[in-house]
Amino acid sequence: MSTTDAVRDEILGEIAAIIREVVGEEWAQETPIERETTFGGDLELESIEIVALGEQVQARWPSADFVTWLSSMQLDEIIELRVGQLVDYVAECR
Amino acid sequence: MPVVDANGVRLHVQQLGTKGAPVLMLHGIVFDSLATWYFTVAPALAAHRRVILLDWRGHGRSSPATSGFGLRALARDVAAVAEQLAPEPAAIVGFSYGGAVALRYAVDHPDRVERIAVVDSPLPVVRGDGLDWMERVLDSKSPGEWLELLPPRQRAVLAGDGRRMQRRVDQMTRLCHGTALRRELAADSDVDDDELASLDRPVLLAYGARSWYEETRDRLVRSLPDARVTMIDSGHFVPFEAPEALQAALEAFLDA
Repeated sequence: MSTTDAVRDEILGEIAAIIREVVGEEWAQETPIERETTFGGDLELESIEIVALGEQVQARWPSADFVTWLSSMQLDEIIELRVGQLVDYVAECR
Repeated sequence: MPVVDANGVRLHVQQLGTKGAPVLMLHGIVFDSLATWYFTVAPALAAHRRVILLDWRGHGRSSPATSGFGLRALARDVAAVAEQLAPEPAAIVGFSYGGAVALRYAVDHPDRVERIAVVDSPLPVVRGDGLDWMERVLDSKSPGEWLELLPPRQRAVLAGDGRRMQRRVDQMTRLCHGTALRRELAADSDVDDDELASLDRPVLLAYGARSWYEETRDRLVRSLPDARVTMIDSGHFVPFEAPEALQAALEAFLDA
């Protein structure tokens, strides 16, 4: 495993923890959260929960400008985002 | 989570952008939240402005409330947020019910308002004929019924009968059946024509070409001293159906 992969795995772990905290429901603790997991179809996150996720991602990685990143996407694209896309964005911004 | 204490409740707020003139953006009522703006036009507006979004009481991530949903009550919540986050005169943008609150707020606090953009809002908010969107939504029995009222893009976002949809239904059910909302909306539903006539601030009326509220648009054109209309190729849900066109209309109005 390259250093980059290790960094991405670490970010994935942290983002998964943030998602579980934002959802705050029992099922989220047991649901696997992987690179291919989608915010909408798989996790069924509501849009206001993605706002909460963005707030925490921004606080954890201040160099990642979540709002500007989102502004290039439509709401339906955002809902179908994969966790891995957010991981890659955070990794690039570090 | 950033919050503002307002009239006994904690309102969830999001601030986007750090430089420029303040813009307060108000969302619709019952199944809406500040995500309506956050995921559509707000990030683009925030490139050159300080955009402030808030969740109404009992909506999104604001604390639950059993009363205080009429136009005057929500205008007081807006006043509390403005006082704490943007005490200088600000532009106010409101979608649907939020636009009606924006007009009420501007009439009640003219010195705090620089200009107002009303996006496909009803006024009066509740009409007696039972055909009003709010009434249709509140009277509909199944989530599927009111899901059909939504444009395809928003329908896709809420998708089927999963958790996302259930959470919206839960918020709606709580607000419609567990609070004074319906009674308060009926009791405090309008801004009078003479009050509208006193509002000497520029008002943008951004209405969908297939709006549910043509009558309101025409009434506001007649009553407001400084109103301009922008027609957008959209139905009622303009932020979701035509975000690019709405963004362009708002940018032009805010920069004028």
